[in-house]
Amino acid sequence: MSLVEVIHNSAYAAHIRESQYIYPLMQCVHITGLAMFAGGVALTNARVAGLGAAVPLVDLGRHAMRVAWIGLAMILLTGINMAASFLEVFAVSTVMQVKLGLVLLALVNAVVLQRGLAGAGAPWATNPPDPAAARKWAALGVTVLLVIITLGKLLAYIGGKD
Amino acid sequence: MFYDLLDWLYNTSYAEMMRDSLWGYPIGETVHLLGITLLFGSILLADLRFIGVGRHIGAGALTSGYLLRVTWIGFALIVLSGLSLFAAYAIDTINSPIFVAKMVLIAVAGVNMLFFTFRVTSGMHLWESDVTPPTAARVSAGLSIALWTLTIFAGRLIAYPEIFETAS
Repeated sequence: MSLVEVIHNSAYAAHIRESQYIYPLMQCVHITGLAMFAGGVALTNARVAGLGAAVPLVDLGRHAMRVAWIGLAMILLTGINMAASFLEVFAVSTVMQVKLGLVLLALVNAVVLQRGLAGAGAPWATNPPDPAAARKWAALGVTVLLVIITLGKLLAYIGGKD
Repeated sequence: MFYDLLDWLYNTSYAEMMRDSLWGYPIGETVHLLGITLLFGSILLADLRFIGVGRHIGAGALTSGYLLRVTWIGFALIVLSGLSLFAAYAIDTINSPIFVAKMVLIAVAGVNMLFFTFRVTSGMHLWESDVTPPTAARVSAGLSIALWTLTIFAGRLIAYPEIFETAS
């Protein structure tokens, strides 16, 4: 048996699959975490690009990224469990593979923001990026989040499970 | 009368398109999710500030200067897509207890927002630096986070009517 089959057929995965409540509740937490991660990262990206200049970049960014990381933890915890419970379906899904690839890009985006903002000597506290130059990167970051959300929803219809 | 209206809505060609076309419903759901991301993300950041997290941040600049605009964009996307999704299965949806619960949650969250806007924020300029917000503000903001989170949960669970069927 392949690893995929072993996980899919494990008692743990079967328990999630067969429960009437667990998978739906994981979806609820996944969506809430999604709103926190994508919302936090998108708002920080937009601020780096020059929107909402009334609030200092480092203040907004730290506030938003703190929420984003908590959201990411909620996403991963539920996402891994949901994927495991129907692994034979998700493992062969192209939509899922593209989604995960884009999630890696979103993580790079989040880490770049975090490194600019974090710590007492945060680089962006004294030397923020030029909004005009940052604009295309911010737009890319927001687009990646948008496509991830779209693919996530698409998984309910194509090559995945509701 | 109310059901006549829903029946009419259900039978409009727009509702039929949402229901029967390949892409209508998935697009509606995706736009709804994007709206949720903008609305919940921005409201959560504002409410955390009102509770006192990041209290050195200027409350006005953060919330009405930046987040509120994002909240309204999210709200517009949600209402637009939400009405479209509702129209597609109007009668089934109105008979769903969890959908009704979701609407009640939104109504209570709305009243809470009005209360916050008109009763609590009058002295908000005093919160600009390291001041602990008034208790009413913190309670209202905490309630707001709880209500919107439950709204998201209720929304997702509309897809699982079997959970809410009473054992009879």
